[in-house]
Amino acid sequence: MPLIMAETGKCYTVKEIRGGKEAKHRLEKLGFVEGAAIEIISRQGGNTIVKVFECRVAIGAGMATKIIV
Amino acid sequence: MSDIKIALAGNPNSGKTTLFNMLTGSKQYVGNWPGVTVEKKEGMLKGFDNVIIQDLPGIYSLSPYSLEEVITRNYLIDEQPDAILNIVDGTNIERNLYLTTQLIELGIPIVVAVNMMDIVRKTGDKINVENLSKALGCPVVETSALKGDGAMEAARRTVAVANSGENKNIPCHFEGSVEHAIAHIEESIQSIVPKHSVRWYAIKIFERDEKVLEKIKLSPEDNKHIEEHIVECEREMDDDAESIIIGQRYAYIAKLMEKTVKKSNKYADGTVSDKIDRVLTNRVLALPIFFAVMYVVYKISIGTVGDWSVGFMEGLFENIGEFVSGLMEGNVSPVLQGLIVDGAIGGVGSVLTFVPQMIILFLMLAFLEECGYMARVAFIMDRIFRRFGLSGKSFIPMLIGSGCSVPGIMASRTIENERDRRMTIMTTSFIPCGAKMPIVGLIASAVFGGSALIATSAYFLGVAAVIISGVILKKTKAFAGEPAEFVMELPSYHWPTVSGVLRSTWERGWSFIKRAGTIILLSSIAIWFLSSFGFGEEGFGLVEDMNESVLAKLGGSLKWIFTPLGFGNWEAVVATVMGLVAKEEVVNVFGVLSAVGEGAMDILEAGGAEAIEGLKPIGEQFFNGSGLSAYSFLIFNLFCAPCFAAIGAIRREMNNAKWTVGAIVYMTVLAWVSSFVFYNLGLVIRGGAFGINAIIAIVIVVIGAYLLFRPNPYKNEKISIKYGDQ
Repeated sequence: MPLIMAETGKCYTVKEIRGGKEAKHRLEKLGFVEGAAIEIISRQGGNTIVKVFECRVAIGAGMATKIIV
Repeated sequence: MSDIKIALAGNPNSGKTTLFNMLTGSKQYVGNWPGVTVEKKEGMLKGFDNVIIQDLPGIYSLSPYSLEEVITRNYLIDEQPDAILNIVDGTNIERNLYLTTQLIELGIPIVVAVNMMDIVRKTGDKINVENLSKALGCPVVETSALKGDGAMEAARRTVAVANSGENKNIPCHFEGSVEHAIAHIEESIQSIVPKHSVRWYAIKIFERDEKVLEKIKLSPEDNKHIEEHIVECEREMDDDAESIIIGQRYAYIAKLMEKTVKKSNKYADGTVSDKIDRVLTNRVLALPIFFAVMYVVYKISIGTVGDWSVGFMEGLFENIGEFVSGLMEGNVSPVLQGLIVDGAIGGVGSVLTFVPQMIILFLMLAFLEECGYMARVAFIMDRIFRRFGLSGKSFIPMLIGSGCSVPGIMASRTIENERDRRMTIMTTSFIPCGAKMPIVGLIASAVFGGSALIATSAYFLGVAAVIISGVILKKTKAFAGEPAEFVMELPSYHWPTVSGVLRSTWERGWSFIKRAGTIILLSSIAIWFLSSFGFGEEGFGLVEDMNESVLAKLGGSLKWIFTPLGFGNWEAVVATVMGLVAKEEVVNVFGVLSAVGEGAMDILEAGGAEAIEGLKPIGEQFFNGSGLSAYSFLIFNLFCAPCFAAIGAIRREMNNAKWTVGAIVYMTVLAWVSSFVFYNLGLVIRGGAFGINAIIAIVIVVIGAYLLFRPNPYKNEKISIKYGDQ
């Protein structure tokens, strides 16, 4: 499912990154690569704070729909 | 012996700035990178007389997508520093090593400083520095910038590798077929790129990096040959070349981590930062907490402490003025005395009065920034701001702008997307700054019986102007496209260092004071001249009555512009013009030009019934006691071109004459139109005649509503902004 639907406080594994090349590469560089373990820290509307590689990243709702976990 | 140049590179929030300050002390040179508004800092390494440290922008990778990345890349490739000191945040080492692996490929001698080791130790994690050094093929040093441990050691090691020459041990971390393709690329380019950087170029060509391909023009045969290898790899891995590289880099780092880092399970249920984030960015609590924090910040900086400090500064400059007057009395001509005391000291003093108040506000905002809360504020506000075509990152400039627009406009630098940044610059000064509040106070006291609603409404107007501008401008060609997707790394919460908070407060405060000393000083003198000289009975010369001054004549000749707004008298025009020097000058001008006299500001500060009684003549004389005229004047002064200092900041941040003029014109037009509509519709509602002006006002409202609610003609247009092309 897309990350935007994931539950707050739970851990997931990244399965795939969708979307255009630019957005995809941007997310991958932040550590959202296939197999990366992530945790949903909190959410505001669709905007989500995700922990990836020990680091908190805030991403907008658009980006959150492109990450499949 | 020639100078050694060391480049300081690392992720944002890795403690790079603290380390830079520690290594260079006060011997710094601050400027801008050519053609852009990214700050460039350089300094001499303490204890050495030939080592220059170049601070590079904080970046996550060497791809060409953001302005900072392009600057760093170009610097490292073109300027060829003698060595790189790479700062790595030890608490977040996986992410940070992503950049490190790329830096190593450049082939420039490099030392890795694993920073924040004190925090790493506290969490119980262990980083095996020796293994890390062996795997990366370069020296690795432990540092703690906050405590100052290891910083000089890291610098000394960097100087040593700079003297020893190249970095030959480049670790291979890609899988067979990728390495195979890269080896082929290396072979075809080794004669055209610097020898030590051949691997970096090869990988970038594999990624099809546009900027690199532009630079090293491959022959068509080579290009074809290379492309075949890349396509083959892509087919095999079922992904595009750049994603392959990114993915394998992270895979390599994960393997490296197994060998070098041992995580304790102390924080298995999340670190302290995670816990704080669960509360502060909580879906329900985030906004109430944010408003509570802001209330405290403003209560202290604008209210209690701030108020007191403004009074103190005013007294101070009055005394300086009197003291200088006393010295000059009888010794110099009255013209010179007027120039210095009323023009220079008065003008600059009126601006500097706000410095302490601003410093207190900036102190608290710097604290919130340094501890990591501001990044969360941008996140919280993004949801709301996005609806108006702005990003959450636009919020911080506006917050700072409520103290002074100058540092507010400067704070827009953190917004990567150029359109979003320009929009933020254009709208930041709509938020009433500290110097606009006296105008608000004056109008409230002189015409509205001291109603507190006027001040509240000023902030509402400011916010409304930001929102309306956001929506309308987003639908124009220049700003077309969605605001950039929100992506922001959130630093861990930590206690700010005293020096960090003070430094950032000082930098913002200083940028303001510096302008007070230059542009405001000059314009104060000019305005003083225009208001003191004129054609009196004995021809051109010093005039007693401001009515006869050049300024009055100029005001008179411009008043037709403001007649439809309800304040077409030359005094109000002059007050508005003087507001360009510093907005609170408006109060002084009205004071001087009316029966109230020079003490208008003091009366205003006394507040209460005294202010209402004392300032009434101003309302009577210039606005005929009409609330409509007075409020229309207020609207115009809140929105129109900001003071010279802020205009200067806009020019610097826009870095483009056309955009600067555009921004100023937009503000002034919006100011005029808003006042016009307010005044003329107000007249009609009051039961006035329905004339041509009212019709025009209605037409403007209809056009405005159309611009506001029309479907976005550029909605589906995807415009990608390229950096570094200007």
